[in-house]
Amino acid sequence: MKFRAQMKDPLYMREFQNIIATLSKLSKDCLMILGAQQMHLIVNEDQSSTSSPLVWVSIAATEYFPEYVMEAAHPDQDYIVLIMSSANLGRALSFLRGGGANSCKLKLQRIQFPCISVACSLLSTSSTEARDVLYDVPVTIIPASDWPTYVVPRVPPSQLALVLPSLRLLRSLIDKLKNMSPSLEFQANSDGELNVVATSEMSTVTSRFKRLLPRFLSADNDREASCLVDSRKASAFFTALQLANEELTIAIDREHSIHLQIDVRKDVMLHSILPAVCA
Amino acid sequence: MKYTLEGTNARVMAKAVQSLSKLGKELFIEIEQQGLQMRAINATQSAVGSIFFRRSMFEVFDKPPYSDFYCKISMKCCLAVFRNMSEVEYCELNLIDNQNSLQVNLRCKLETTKEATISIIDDQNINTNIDTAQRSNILLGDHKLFMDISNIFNSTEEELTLEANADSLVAKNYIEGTRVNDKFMRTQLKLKPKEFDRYQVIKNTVITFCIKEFRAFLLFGECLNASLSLEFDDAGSPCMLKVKKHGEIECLLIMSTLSPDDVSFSHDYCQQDLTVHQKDMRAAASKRKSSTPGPSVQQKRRQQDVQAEIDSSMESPLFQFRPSEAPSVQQARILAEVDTVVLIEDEAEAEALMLAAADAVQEACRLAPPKAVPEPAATPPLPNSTEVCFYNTDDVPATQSPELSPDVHGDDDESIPQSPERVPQMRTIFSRCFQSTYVPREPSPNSQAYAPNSDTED
Repeated sequence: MKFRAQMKDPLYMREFQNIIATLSKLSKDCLMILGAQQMHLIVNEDQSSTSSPLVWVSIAATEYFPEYVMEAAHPDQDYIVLIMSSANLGRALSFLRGGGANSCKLKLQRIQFPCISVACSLLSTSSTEARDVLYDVPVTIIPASDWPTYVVPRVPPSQLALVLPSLRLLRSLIDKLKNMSPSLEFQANSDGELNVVATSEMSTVTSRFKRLLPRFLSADNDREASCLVDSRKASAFFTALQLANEELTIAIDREHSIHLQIDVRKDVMLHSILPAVCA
Repeated sequence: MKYTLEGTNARVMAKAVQSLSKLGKELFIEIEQQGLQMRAINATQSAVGSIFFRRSMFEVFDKPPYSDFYCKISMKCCLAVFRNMSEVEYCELNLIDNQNSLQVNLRCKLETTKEATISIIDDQNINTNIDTAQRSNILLGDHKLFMDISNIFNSTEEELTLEANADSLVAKNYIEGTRVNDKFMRTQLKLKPKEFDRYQVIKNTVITFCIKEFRAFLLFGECLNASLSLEFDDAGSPCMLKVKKHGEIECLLIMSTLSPDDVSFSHDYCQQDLTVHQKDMRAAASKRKSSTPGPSVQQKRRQQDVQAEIDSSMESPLFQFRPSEAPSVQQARILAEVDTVVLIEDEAEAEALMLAAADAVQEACRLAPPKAVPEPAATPPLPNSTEVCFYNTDDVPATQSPELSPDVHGDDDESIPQSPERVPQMRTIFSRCFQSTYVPREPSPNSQAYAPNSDTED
């Protein structure tokens, strides 16, 4: 079983660190599935948390890691599946945020117990020399027999999707609406309108986002779709986001779920599913 | 007796009090001919910090008439008095009430005056018999450098280990070669000698000391914007952190370091690569099981011999109190979070084997063509990698994967097939209820021993 990856570009390192920081705000444990060409990071995969949504990130290895070697435990296995603390991984990568890192190496090792060694070569402002920082993040290796429990979530089929150019407004909006009502309704319209409705005993607040770009995802040309979701989960997702990217795609599966997708760059995508709740 | 400071110096003194407050619960003040010294000692008496302010810092400084004056006051009171110093323009310290109370007068902006009277508890002081002359290994560097070292570690970390070599300095939160907790994230930072203003390492040493006191003094050094010097000999002997500013302020922090006798080393816990194939591990372990328990038992015996030596050397504690009444509490050794049971190598291999065997069994189950005849249940439910398993060292299960024996076919008519083996699921909540015996493999890494075992029979 071998895994080794190296990052050299400061921009990519910062993006990777932002992704991990986002995941660490959502949940304590992070599931990492390493494929031959892809890395998946999944948080809250069992959806047992009532306040944090299922979020997963799929990264094409070639995007961030110019050097990426993955060999599974057994020749006919395709993946390495690991569980680790997202806070630990976030701390290990914290130096990548400043932009002073030259390179960052990830390596799966067994030093008393399996861990991912994160070795960064830093060039700090106060020194002329490069320093080496090494963090050994303890991981739990999941054997192949238990892989059926841990799968990369599938993007749910949706009827209508809208592209929101800036999520900043939506973030502050949901933050305020979550105090009003336990559930929020997202209504999407093929004319490019998104309505966010919060209903409480005393009032109903509707926020309309107009002139969004629609995308029809199902065969039958639906005009509109709506779904009621938990406002705390939605707020947790938006508050946790640390990415620089602002564009968000909202896909609604009528009465089932809302799928949020952020394309950090081509082949690096962050997804989240907010399941529907009863009114 | 009166001592006055103007605003900026008063703020420095307040910062000194705040740093010392992280050390101990009481502040010891000593007024001598040359200046005023503040000291604090921590609860386990493993660190003493002292900050000395020269006479020149004070505007009015009454020399003590007969001999040096000592007093001990509560740290909490001091902190409350010196809490908010941003408005202070003038600070006056008076010894009143026949030297039983310390009066602090703070004259602030806008004609406000804050006055506090702190009662003196007694006239104890700390005497250290440690030679503060320069040690063999000296690291002199800017406070930013030491702050960088301190910042890579979590704020909850307890100890800092420095490995000083001639060509590099490695700061770690663990001791290389010792066993750590499963969930422990090891951290290390490697620095080059060129980063220090002065880097003198005579002999390669590894020292471990408490990071909390180190950080407290680092904070003070940072607000003084001064360079810090860390001096040490080798593991077990005290190390010193010195900060000097303009010849007016001198700080000294003496910390005791972990003695190498208190730590159990094992080469198995040094860095290795995860490349060993499963079969090799199985073969190696079976060989080891048959051999005599050589090195591990001998190491334990050696430890016992050393214990006897340690007991005798603990008669004179590191720091003493004045007037000379020997404190009843022995110097507490700071032990790392490691335990000292040594018979670990074999068991670690055994567990690795069981994991390998578990994987092999699962493979065999999957790949074998579905037959009516189930395989004989040769082993108890095998643990998975995440399941905590405690096994009696005597009945470690067989390490071979159960083979599908060909002669089971013939016994079809007579033998009743056994019920299929229960495959344990990943998340067994009450896993321990289904295990035969619960024998903890070793004392929990969380239990810290504050004094070595003095039982001669153990």
